[in-house]
Amino acid sequence: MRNALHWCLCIEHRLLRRPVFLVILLLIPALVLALNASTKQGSGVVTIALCPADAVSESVTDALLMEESAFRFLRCENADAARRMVAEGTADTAWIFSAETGAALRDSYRGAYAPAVTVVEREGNVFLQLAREKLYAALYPQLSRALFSEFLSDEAGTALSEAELEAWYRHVETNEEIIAFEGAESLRQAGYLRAPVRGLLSILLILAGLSGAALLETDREAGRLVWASPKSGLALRIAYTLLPMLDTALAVWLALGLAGLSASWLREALLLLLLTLGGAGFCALVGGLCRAPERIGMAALLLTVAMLALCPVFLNLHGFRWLSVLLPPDLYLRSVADGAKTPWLALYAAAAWALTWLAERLLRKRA
Amino acid sequence: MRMDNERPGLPAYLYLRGKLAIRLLVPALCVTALLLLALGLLGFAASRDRRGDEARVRVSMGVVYNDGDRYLSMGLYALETMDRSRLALELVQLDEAEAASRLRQGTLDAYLVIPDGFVEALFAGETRPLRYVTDAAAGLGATLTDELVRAVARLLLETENAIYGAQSYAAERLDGVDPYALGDRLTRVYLNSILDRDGLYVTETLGVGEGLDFFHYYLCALIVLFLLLWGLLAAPLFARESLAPRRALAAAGFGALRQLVCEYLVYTLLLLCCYMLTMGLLLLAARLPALRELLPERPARLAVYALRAVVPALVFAAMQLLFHELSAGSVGALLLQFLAAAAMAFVSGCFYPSSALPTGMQTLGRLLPTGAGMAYLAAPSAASLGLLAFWLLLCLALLWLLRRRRLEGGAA
Repeated sequence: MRNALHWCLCIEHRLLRRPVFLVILLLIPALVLALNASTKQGSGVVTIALCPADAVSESVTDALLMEESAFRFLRCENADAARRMVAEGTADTAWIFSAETGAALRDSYRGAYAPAVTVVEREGNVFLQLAREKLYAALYPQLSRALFSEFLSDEAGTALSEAELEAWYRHVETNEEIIAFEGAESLRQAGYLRAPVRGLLSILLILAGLSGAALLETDREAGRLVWASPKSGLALRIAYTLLPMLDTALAVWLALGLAGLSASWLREALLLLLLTLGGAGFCALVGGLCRAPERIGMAALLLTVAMLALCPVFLNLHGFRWLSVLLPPDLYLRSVADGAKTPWLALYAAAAWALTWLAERLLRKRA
Repeated sequence: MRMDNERPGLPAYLYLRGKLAIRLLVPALCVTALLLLALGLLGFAASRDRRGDEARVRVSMGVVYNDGDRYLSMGLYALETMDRSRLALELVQLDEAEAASRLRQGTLDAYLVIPDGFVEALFAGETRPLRYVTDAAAGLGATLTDELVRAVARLLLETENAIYGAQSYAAERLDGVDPYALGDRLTRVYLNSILDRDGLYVTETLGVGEGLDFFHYYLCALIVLFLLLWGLLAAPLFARESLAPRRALAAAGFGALRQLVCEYLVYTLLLLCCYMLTMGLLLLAARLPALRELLPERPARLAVYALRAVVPALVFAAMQLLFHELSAGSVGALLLQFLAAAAMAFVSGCFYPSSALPTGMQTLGRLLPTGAGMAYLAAPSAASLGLLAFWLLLCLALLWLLRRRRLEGGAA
C-alpha cells in the first residue's frame, strides 16, 4: 500500500512539475468561461436579417429583436444591404417586408395573396425551412387580428373600430401556458453554443487517461520502471491513467461549475468521479492492448473521432447506440441528462476495471 | 550518425528523422484506413437506416395522442400529407413509452403528448396543456424543434383568442347567430390561412455565390478537422523525445534551425502522406455507385479541395510541431493538441456554421489559422494566403526560439 502511494506521489509530482500540464489545467476553466462570456453576445442557429418597411413590419421586427430565440435577428437599413449580407454569408437569410405588409395580411382573408415578405436565401436547407415557420409565427399575431377584423366585419355587416376589435379580440384572453416543456429548460439554459462544452471536456478527460497510458509505455521503453515489481503491472497502469484524469477532472469540475453548466456541484462531482473511474479503466485497457506510444496515439485519434461522431456531443446519430455505449462519455452525457442512468455509469466503471484486470492477466500469461 | 570527427550533415539528420517518421507511418496509414472504413460503414448503415431523401434531412418529432380523436387524426394527416412542414419535420405517431424510449435512443429529437379530449376542451374554452418532452443532451435538432413548438404554441394561443372573441361577440351582439357555428366558420378561415401560409411570402434564392452551400462548407470543415486532429496521432512519438541527442547535435554544429528544418520537412511529409491517402481513397469511393448518394459531388471538384488543403496543411504541421515542442511529454502533448484543435475548430466554425457564432467569435475565428484555412479552402484569396503565411512564419519562428532556448539549457 505504501509502495503504491509512493508511486502515485512520484507520478503526480512528475505531472505537476510540467508547466504545460498546469497551464492546460488552468486553460480548461479559462476557455469555458471565455466561451460563456462570448455567448452573451447575440448568436443564433440561423442569422436572419430583417428589413421592415411599414408600421406592421416594424412591430413584427421589434418583437423578433426582443425575443429570446435560437435564431439571431439583425435589423437592416434597406433591402440591398439585406441581400448583400446573405450573398456575403453574414446572414443565412433575409426577410424583406413589403411596404404594404398590413394590407397584404388583411387581403389574405379573401384569398388574395400578395407576398408580405420576400425571403432571400443562398440555398435551401432544413434550418431555413424551419426559420420560415418562425416567420409565419412572427406574423401570426398581426395576421390573426387582420383575419378576425375582416371576419367580424363580414359577419356584422359593418366595419368595427380598431379599439372595439382589440377589445373583442382580448375579450376571453388565454394567457395560460398551452404547452408544458419538459427537459427543454436545461437545453435552453445551456444554449446550443454551450451545449457541446460538457461533451468536449469529457473527451479531453479520456485523452488525459490515454496520455497517461502513453507516458507509462514511454517510461517502460526508457527503462524507468525496472525498479517496479513485475506484479504491480495493473496497479501501475491504473495509477498512470487515473492520476492525470483526476487532475483534469478537477479542472473540468471547476470549469462546469463556474460557467453555470452544472445543476449541482455535488452531483457534478459524483458524475465526473464515475466518468474518471470508468475512463481510467477504459484507457488502461486501451493502453494494455496497444503497448506502444505510437499505437496509443493512433488509438487516441480513432477514439477522439469516434467520441465526437457517436457520443451526443454535437450529433445524436440514430442507430449507433450499441457502439457509442462502449465509449465512456456516452453514458456520462446521458447520465447528466437523465439521473436514472447514473447506476449504469457506475456499472460501466466496474466492467471497465474488471476487463482491464482480465486483459492484464492474459497478457502477463502470454508474456 | 557520426559526430565525433565530422560535422553531422543535413541529409543524415533528415534520414534519422525519416526513420522515426516511418515508425509512425504504418500506424498512421492504418488509422487512416480504419477511419475511412468506419466512415464508409457509418455512411452505409446510415443510408440503409433512412427511408429516403426527405427523411434524411428532417427533424423527427413524436406525437402521442389518442387514435380515436377524429379532429387530431385529420389535422396530423393534413400536416403529413399536405403541409409543406413535412419537408423539414417528420411526425411519428406512437405511444408515450415508445416515444420516451426512442428519445433516449436518439431516434427522435423530441415528442409531444396531446391529452385526451384536447380539441373538445379547446372548443369548450378550456386549455389542457400539451406536454413537449425533449432530451437535454440532444443537439441542434432539439433546439430547432423547441423553437418550432414555441411557434405552434403562439399560433394556438392567438387562434384561441380570436375564436373565443368572435363567439363572445356573436353571443352578445349578433341576434340569431349561433356562436359555436360562427366559431367553426372562423376556425376554417384560420385553418385555410395556416395551410396557405406559403402565399404570404416569396422566396428568392441567390445561389451559392461567394459563400458555400452546406455540403461544401462541411467538406472544408472536415478537411480542416482531419488536419487538426492528426496532431493527436503524432503526439506520443514526437513530444516525448529527449533533448540530449539534440544538444549533442547542436554542440557538433548542427544548430536549432537546421534541426527544425529537417523535423518540419519530415513531419509535413508524413501529414501530407496520410492526408493524400485519405483524399485519394475518398475520391475513389466517390466513384462507387453505393456512395454516390453520400458524396453528391463530382470527383474532380473534390480533388480541387483536396489539393487546396496542402497549403493549410503546411501551417498546421508547423503549429502541431510547436505544440509538441511546448509540451515536451505525451501527457501535455495529447491534451494540448486536443484542446487547441477543439477550441480553434469551434471558433472557426468547423462544428457549427460560423454564421451561428457570436460576432466577436466569428472575427476571432477568421483570424486564426483554422479560419484562414477554411477561407482558403472555400475560395483561395490573397488575404487568406497572406494570413496563412503569417501563421506559418510565426509558428516556425516561435519553434526556432523555443528550440534554441531549450538547447542552450534554458528549459528541459
